[in-house]
Amino acid sequence: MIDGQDERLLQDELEGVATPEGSKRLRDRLARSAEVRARRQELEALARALDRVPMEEVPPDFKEGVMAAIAAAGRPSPARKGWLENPGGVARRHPVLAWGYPFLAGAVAGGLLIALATGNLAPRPRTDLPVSGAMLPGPGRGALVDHRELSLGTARVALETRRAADGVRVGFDLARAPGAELTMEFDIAALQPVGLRWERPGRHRAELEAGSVRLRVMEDGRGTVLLSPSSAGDAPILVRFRREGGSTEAVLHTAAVGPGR
Amino acid sequence: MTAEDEETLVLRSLAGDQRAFGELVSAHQRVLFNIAQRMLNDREDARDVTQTAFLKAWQKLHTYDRRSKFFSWIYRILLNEALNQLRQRRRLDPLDERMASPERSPEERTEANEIGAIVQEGLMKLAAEHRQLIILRHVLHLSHREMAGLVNLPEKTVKSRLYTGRQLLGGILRQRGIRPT
Repeated sequence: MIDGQDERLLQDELEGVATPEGSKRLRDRLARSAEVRARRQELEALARALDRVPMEEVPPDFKEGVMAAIAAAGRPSPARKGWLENPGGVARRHPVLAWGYPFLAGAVAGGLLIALATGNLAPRPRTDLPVSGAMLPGPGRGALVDHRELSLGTARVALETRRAADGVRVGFDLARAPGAELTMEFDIAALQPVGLRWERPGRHRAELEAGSVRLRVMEDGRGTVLLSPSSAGDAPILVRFRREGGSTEAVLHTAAVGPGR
Repeated sequence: MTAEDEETLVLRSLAGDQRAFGELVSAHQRVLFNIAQRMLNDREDARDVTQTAFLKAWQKLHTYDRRSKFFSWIYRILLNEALNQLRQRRRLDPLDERMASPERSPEERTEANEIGAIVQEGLMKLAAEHRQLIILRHVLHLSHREMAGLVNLPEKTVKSRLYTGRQLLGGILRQRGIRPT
């Protein structure tokens, strides 16, 4: 009778990864068991059949289709680190983050709930808000690092990042964007959310997932997300602006980016 | 294509050079299309999914970590797209016609010598996690280590899933009276 060990020995042999001891044991089993011999034939035949599955050619106009699609999509966003695509990878490279995620997410979610309930977290004088109506830099609000403007139809959002004494401030100013969603994704190893303040209170919602802040606005909205950086280096933030029927995105830098980036 | 060439093409693509990205498409389209074809068993779906994977790669190129291989990165995009496609199929088609191929006798099959079709049919009965490893091993002829890097799993797990997948595939074919020769 074939047991799990026989099967493993046979498959190891088939894969060319059998150990000398395994090979010897398999030879013994093959010499004594017709079932094992039959199973080997079966596995070999299956592997042959699999190996004979032919590679197919791509449809003739395949590449043209891809090139037309990317031409319509415009150029990719500027280069930055790859952690946004794979936060799990960050956790694997830095195991402490694997258990840190739930803790941090819970802590920040609690903080944001307070922010939602009170309207503000870590309130500051209104004049200290980093976002002016025109998104222009103002005195004492930290150094302007980056700014972007995204639009979807008539809806638009102006964004800026500043380095201030208390951290990185991401100012946003949404106009003509009812029902729009603004998401900021960042590396939680590099940036930790500290607070959120709406300059124009309204029927807005904020949600937190690990490494991201999501804002939904029901009318025009303006405010600031305060993030605490772990270093003075750049920790890019991927911003997505979505409305029904479309989305667009941009990367905001949080420190001056060298020419090599 | 060397890793340096690929790195250069990625950098040029990031700068908006569509021709550079076109070279990356040329380099990887055949393998990716074949993976999609084996995962989905439908040429049109495979084409859509592979084209979408390339488009997403272009749009998200800034998120690509250049310490890893471009192929590993786009492979994961492709796999996600293929899995989404399979999920969508399950929602839309309780009995997918692609899966319910007309029953034919083993003799008819042998006569037709449809090895590819027979194996493909069996592959479609496997869970995606087993199917993708069989494809990587037998269509792309990757080593256990290469597969582990691609699917982000320990080599041991890859080996075990590959063995299980092959065992299940053998069982499925045997159950249907098919014995590959």
